[in-house]
Amino acid sequence: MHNDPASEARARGVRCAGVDKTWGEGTARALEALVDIDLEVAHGEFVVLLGPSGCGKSTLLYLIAGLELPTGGTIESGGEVVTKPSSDRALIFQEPSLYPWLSVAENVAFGLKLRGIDKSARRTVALRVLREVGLADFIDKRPDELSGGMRQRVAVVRALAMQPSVLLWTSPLPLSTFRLVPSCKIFSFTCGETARHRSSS
Amino acid sequence: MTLKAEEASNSDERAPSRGAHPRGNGTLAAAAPATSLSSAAIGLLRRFAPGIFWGTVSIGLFAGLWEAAWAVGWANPLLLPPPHIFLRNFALQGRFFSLATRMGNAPASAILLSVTSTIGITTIRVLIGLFIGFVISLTVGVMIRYFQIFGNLTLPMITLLAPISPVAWFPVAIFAFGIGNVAAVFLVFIALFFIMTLATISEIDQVNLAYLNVARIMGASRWQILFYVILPAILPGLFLVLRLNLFAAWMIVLIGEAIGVGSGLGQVVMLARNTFNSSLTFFTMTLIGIVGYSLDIVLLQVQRRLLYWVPQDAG
Repeated sequence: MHNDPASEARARGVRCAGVDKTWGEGTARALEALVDIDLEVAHGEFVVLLGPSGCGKSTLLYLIAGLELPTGGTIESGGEVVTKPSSDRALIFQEPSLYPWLSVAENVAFGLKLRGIDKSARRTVALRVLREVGLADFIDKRPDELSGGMRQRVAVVRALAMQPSVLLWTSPLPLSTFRLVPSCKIFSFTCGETARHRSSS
Repeated sequence: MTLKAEEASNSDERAPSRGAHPRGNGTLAAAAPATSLSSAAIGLLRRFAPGIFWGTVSIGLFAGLWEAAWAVGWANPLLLPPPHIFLRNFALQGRFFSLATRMGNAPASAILLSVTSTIGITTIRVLIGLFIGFVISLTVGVMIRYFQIFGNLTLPMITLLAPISPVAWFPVAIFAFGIGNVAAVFLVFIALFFIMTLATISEIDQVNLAYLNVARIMGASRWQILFYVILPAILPGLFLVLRLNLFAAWMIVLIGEAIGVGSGLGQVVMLARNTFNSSLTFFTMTLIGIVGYSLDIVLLQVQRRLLYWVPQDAG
């Protein structure tokens, strides 16, 4: 049983209370994406947001990640209010967006390099996570030498290499990445919980 | 079914290795490793042969038309001497390339030296101006976007000065730096600086938002984003602008030298014009064209090595 404050904080998971998001607030092209959203995700829980295209799923993920701020309400993660992005709340986008000037290993270890971790340690981590998705042979290749599905897998392990406590995943439906979900060894997901949320559409 | 087993059955999903793709001018690189010098040379020749062939045909056609015009009397040999005339008396024209060889009978080696050093001086001025212009415009462009106040103060002034031709800056160059190399380099710098600064700002604004978002999620600071994401992302675009402006910089140096910075190919052009020496004019033009073209090739090679991730096309 972990009793230190950090673990206790992590155990609290994500909490959205009365979250609103209006894109372009105050301008003529304002768009109400989310109105009064409440959502609680406990640590270790696996939640799927289902909804028609354009209903605000990605918007909510961006808010939880901290890339955008809500126009109303609060979002908490690990007991603290979310004000900016952090590698602890990793967001995986629809496009892999790997840096073309870096090799696969350097892409995966990008977050670690920002933290000042030395080169051999970074390579060890990169090798380990790439092995999980069967791409260890491609560790020194460039992104343009990989197929689209392979790039997506690299993007996933890039996020996982930072060992986030919250993993946010936009549209994991491409088969190459979706089948990774049950076999991810870094997080144990309990599959099957579906959260329904009220949205503006 | 474990992940590894799935991987094995999907091995056809893997991207083919780079070397199998035909590239560039449409010929396949020699597949077998070169086992001797001659086969390596043949492989090299095969790669460059189409380019050499078409280059020769293109230039040869142009020269041929010129010769034909001369043969039927349309081209006055005094005004428009065809290649076989202005290339033939190279030894004669080479004298004009430096003060030391202009009078009297200078030996061929001295003439060759003066021609080479003249070409060298012009080229070095361009290269130094290119380098200084690139570095300073990149720095200023980044500062404009990273320090709001600096941007507000300098951007209007830069945009105002940008359309002013470097030729108009010539008196400023001479007053500030006197006649000589510094003035020539300054002109190249001016020719590049404003355009490259505006290009830098534009490139920074157009960096893929996803790249920035990934960096932010990874916890990058403002400066880490600059060095690890923005700079690599904008360098390809900036290099293209630099190469496009190379010819403009080259022309500015020549104009500056013609108007009077003391030495260089441009000055020879001016001398030829003033002495009505059309052979020298065309001979120097040929030299200018060759050197300018070579500079572009050099820059292209630098780009290919420095910016290794940019897909290489024929241009």
